[in-house]
Amino acid sequence: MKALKKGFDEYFGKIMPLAVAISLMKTFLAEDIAKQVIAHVEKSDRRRVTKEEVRIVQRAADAALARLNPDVFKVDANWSPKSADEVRKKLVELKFDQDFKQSLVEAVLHVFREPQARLDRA
Amino acid sequence: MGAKTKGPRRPTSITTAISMARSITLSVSKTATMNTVVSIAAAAFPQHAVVIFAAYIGLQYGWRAVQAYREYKELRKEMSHQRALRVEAERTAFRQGIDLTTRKLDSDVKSRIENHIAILLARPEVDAAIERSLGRHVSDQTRDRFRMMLQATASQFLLGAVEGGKGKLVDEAARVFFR
Repeated sequence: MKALKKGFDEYFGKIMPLAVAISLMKTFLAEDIAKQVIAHVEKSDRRRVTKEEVRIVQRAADAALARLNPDVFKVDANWSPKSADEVRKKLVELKFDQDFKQSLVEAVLHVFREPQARLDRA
Repeated sequence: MGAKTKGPRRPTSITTAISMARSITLSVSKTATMNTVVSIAAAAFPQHAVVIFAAYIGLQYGWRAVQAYREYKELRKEMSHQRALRVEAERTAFRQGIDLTTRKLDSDVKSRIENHIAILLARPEVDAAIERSLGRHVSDQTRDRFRMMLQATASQFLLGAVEGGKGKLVDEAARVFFR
């Protein structure tokens, strides 16, 4: 059991910096997507979104990004950034395809517009 | 009384080894939990079998996993004086296992792994890593969102390591665990 625990700790010790970096990227990207969705809703509906709606959008964006395959971020398995700024820089460098971002925006919009989709996700 | 068993039922017989291995593998493959054991074993190659079964005890996947591990240990004990036979029995068991399993985890087992990951992530070291990553001037909401992302990503890595075929990065990370 001790050896097992050590093995597991070793695994998490090695994977955790990468998981933290990818999670940061997902968190930042989710913020970006949520902002785009809110802007889109405000423009198309010609109204301000409520606080509750902002929360729904953020939750939907978080859920969509959480499911993303880590390969999307094209990082090396040994990458362990020192700060959140380094992660933000990398995210800018990645220059995501506009279609990719658009598909995420549409997925979040669908969840926001369709209450049933929200229930399905839950 | 006390006489050595002769013929195909003798403990060192390859037929006995294969039939024991097969019965273990078949019983192992009957439940979803055991399917997972075989899936992991399949992913890890036979030489990591002991670690894999031990991992199941560690992850507390129930009494059946403990039983499977004990049976497996018994098999090894009986075959220890004839290494080649033992290796062959292991290989037969795992080859059989690979054929029987779909390498797809049961949703209940998945949620158990995710719960276990959540427990593993509830550690001071992880909190320290989050502090280092986000800095101190972030809202509690961002912190919670980040923690959720971390839980999801860590689950992706571990479940992906078990199931396989979940992408280059996950596979590379899996090699760290199963090397």
